[in-house]
Amino acid sequence: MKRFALIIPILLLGACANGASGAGAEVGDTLRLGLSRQITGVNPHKGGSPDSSGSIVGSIYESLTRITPSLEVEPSLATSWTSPDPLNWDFTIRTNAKFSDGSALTADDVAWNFAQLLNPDYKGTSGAPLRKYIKKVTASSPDVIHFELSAPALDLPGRLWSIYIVQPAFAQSHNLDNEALGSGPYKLDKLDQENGAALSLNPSYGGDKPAFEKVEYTVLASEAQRVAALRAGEQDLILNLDPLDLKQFEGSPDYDTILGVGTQPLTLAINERKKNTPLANAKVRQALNYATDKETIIKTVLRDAVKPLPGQVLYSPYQTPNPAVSAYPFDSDRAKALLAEAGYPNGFEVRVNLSSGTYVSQDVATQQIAAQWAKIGVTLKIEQQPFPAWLQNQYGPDDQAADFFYIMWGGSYRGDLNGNFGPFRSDHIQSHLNAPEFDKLVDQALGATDQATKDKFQNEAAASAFENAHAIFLYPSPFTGVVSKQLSWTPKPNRYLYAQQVGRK
Amino acid sequence: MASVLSPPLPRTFRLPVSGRYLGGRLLTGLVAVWGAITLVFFALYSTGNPALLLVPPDAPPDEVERLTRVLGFDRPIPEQYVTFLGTVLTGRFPDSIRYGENPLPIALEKVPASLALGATGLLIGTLLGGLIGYWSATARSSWLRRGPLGVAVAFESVPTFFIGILLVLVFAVNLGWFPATNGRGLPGLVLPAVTLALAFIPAIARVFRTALLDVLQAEHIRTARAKGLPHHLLVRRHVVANALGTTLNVVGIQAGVMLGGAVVTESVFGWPGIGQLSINAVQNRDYPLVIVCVLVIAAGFVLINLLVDVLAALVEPRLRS
Repeated sequence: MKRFALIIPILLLGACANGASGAGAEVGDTLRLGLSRQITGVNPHKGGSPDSSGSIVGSIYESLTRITPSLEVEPSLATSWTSPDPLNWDFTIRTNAKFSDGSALTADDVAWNFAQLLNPDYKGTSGAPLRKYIKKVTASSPDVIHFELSAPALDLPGRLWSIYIVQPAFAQSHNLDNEALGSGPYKLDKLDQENGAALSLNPSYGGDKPAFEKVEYTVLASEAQRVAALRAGEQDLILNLDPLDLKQFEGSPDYDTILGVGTQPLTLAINERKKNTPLANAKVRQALNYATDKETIIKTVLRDAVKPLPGQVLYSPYQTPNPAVSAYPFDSDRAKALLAEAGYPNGFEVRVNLSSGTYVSQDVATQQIAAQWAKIGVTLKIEQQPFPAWLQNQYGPDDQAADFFYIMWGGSYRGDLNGNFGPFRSDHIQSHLNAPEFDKLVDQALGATDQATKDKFQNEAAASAFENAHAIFLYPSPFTGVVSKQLSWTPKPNRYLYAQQVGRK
Repeated sequence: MASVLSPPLPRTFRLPVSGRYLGGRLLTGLVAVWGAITLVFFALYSTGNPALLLVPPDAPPDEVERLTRVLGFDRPIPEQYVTFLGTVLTGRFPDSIRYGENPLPIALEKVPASLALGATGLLIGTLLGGLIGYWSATARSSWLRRGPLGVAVAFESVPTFFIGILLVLVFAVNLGWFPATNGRGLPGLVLPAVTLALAFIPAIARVFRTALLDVLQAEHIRTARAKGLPHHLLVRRHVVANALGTTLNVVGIQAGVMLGGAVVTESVFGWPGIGQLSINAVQNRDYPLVIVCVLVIAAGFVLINLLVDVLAALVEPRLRS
């Protein structure tokens, strides 16, 4: 009933669309960008969701490398990098980089930032993954930073894309959660973590001047707020709308719509470690993959924006999938036979946890999956929880965690092994899997010192996850958005909405 | 015995309530606020570990443990409570997890916006609620007696977020009169204030109506009528004035609720008040900030109710005892 009540306003907004929208949607001097999640601070050492803090931080700060819309890694603060051997890397940085107060950004500043992150008592959480494989970071000359690793990292430039550099003196005297001093194209003028942020051009920025002098990020955490803001012409660009809500903006004289393939896959993560769970049996997990009619969900809920995952979390065009692996076809008879072989001819009951309002179309999609599984005798009970409780359930003991979690996990750049496969390892902090073969193959891929070896083990890991059905492989996340016709913007399907990448037509 | 006419005493201002009464109320208020934050502290801290929300997805398995230790959430809850009280006694609160600083100024900074919204909503709600209650008790037309009150009660049964979005749809999206989201200043205040007011109107209207009907049955009103006092004078001077005391109490309760109860309205409209701050703090498990929000809201509730009691005693002398 509550869900129904939430849907009504959105339908009402749609019903009043009259095929046009955006009264007063004129793009002015200030660029207006809508964020779909609440801001969690602007600390450059704490990461942040692309739908909120991550987009602001990436407009204010720079990192050594950055990610292109097609998920390639390219230079940013660093102009080039070399690796004389698998455990040593040198990054050469730009000499014209300046913080927004006019002070120069040096290799020493970069080394200082990494030293903080590598300190185990530091509160900045971005350092946690780094401490696994970086031994030391030093400035070997005014413009060269040397990385000494404890384990090979073939994709080190990619891994550094979200490590932003803050001015050391400022960091030591200010609260980085609320204040900022970076070398990016914009500087922070005002931050209201509950509602948004105001940015203006960084006069000292060494790169190309962005198109807008001022930027306003506005938090619009609910779908109804996003639709209303667009309908009222109060925003220039908003991502993350329900594919079905996009219809009301199609044909609008003011806005273009985006409906495409996102960079991260959606799966049902499985709890294989619960006591006496049928999900410990690979045949049961395979049966559930066969019983899931991905095509129908995609057609009815996601407006054919995506294709089913090819039996793995790697998919084109953002990652290179194992060509020998393909999607589990929808086959109820096969699913029933597998369940019978596994000793569950009459099915069983399992529970899936959804994080309320977190993933586009998750409620309807899960209801469809429950209906599909009911046909082979499996009862899927759906539970909704607020994000913190949902996350806590995942971190909890195996026997208390749900059987399934509807979740979006994925890499940030091409060949991002940790991002793509990490959550599916048995030792991941949110995992309840028992996948020793997969773990070993991922370790071998991570430890590879040449691309061919890495690709080989990556493909074998993908095949292992498919054969053992360590997830219910669903589909890529849909990438949706509404953009003013007066803007030029290359869609970034990883959802980072950096102000400097938006231009005027 | 000499008859002496003593000179008239100079008239001095007297508070409608005694200083002892005020002191007692403030003391019980303090206990109530302490009780509220203690309850919330134990309820929050026993429901989960906020460090979970701070860990990046690619962190090693021991990162949750490390962060829990760094933030001090690894100690027993009673010990954390004692530390918390110790910190509060020094005049500051434990740092907000999300803001990384003392949460009290953050919460206090939001109070003016909440008060502006609440006061406007309450003013509109009280005026309209009073008018509707007055009509429903005194109007000769049966339509006027029943119609407005029926509409107000109908609005009461609709969820606040729905009314808010409906108002946005009509007045912001379609008519373009007001901002749809994150409005600032007077234009941005109108729709959320009206949304709030619609929630207050029925309660105020009903109580005022009942109070008016009670007073209208009173003997002194019959006497005044029998003496031929004009109807409008009778109602204004004797009926309405006597019915205000009860209504003010309801307004007071609503005012207290409003300070923290405008959570939904503030969230729907992106109004930067303490209600929105509280709900976001809960969602992010920012425990120190939640506790400070509860403190500010509870203290506001106590103070507003005290103020209303003083006002009620001013309006209704019988309450001064």
